[in-house]
Amino acid sequence: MSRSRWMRMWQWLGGLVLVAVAATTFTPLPNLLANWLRTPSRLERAEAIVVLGAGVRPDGTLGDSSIRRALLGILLFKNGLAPSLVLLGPPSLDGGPSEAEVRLELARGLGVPAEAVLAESRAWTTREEAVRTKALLAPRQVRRILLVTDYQHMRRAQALFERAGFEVLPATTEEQSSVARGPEGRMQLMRVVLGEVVARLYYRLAGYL
Amino acid sequence: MESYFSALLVLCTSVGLYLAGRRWLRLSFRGLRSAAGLVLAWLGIAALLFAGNVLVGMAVAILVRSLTPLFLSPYLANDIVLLVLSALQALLLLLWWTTRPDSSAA
Repeated sequence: MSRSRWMRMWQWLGGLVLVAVAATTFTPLPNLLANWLRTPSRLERAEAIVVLGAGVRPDGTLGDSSIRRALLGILLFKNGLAPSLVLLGPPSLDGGPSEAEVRLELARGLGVPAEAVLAESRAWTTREEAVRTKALLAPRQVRRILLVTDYQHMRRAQALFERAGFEVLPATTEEQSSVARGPEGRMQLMRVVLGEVVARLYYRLAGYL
Repeated sequence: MESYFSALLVLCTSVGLYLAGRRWLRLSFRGLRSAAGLVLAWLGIAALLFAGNVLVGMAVAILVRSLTPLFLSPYLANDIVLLVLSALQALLLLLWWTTRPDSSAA
């Protein structure tokens, strides 16, 4: 192919990128896509509340998403929606405490009785969380769970936990508000949406969903 | 209005730059067109390289995870730095390509 044809091809691609960036930053496209990913919460009584991991910082503090999920789980427990609370979260890569351990401390500090909480810190991915949770709750014969995660992550997580044999009641938190306004907020929202779309695609290709 | 503030700002300063370029630097409109074409080409190459880098990054993370006891998150490829580095990579490639000695013969 000649240089000018290559150049034209790159220019067309560049033009498409410009259109995509403009549509993302100056139109409600990311908000529409985020709403398409949304799973509404169904807050009913269950046998356990399962809070999915979202990451712990190297200094041992919880990330924004992690703390939002943990607090919703604790709130649901305090409202009497289930007798036990399962806190998930992998170990810190820097040798610090695991996310599950930090959340456990938070739950205890907020008055959740120690005997009502289970912490599991060996799962790295959503799929592993479903498998580990099943192993953890099987002896208690728990089937109906309230699953706590971000709204854009819920559909994938719900499918995995249902595949593991649970009846799932979604309890969603907002990570990136789908009502994000302004170019930067919409860009961040689009990044989250695309990340989840890629993750779903990967899970489908790998046969997990 | 808030949503369009940055776009309007850049539009206004671009008009100023255009006028300054024409008046004081004696730049031509044709030159501006070919510069815009190069920017579009750079964007296209950057998008392609970014997609390639993300795919390779995810493949490496999955490979390391399945072949070793180490955990490498595919989300590592979802870093904004990768976008910046891909843009630099694209700029370098474009300059290399357009400034090659035999470029006029192609």
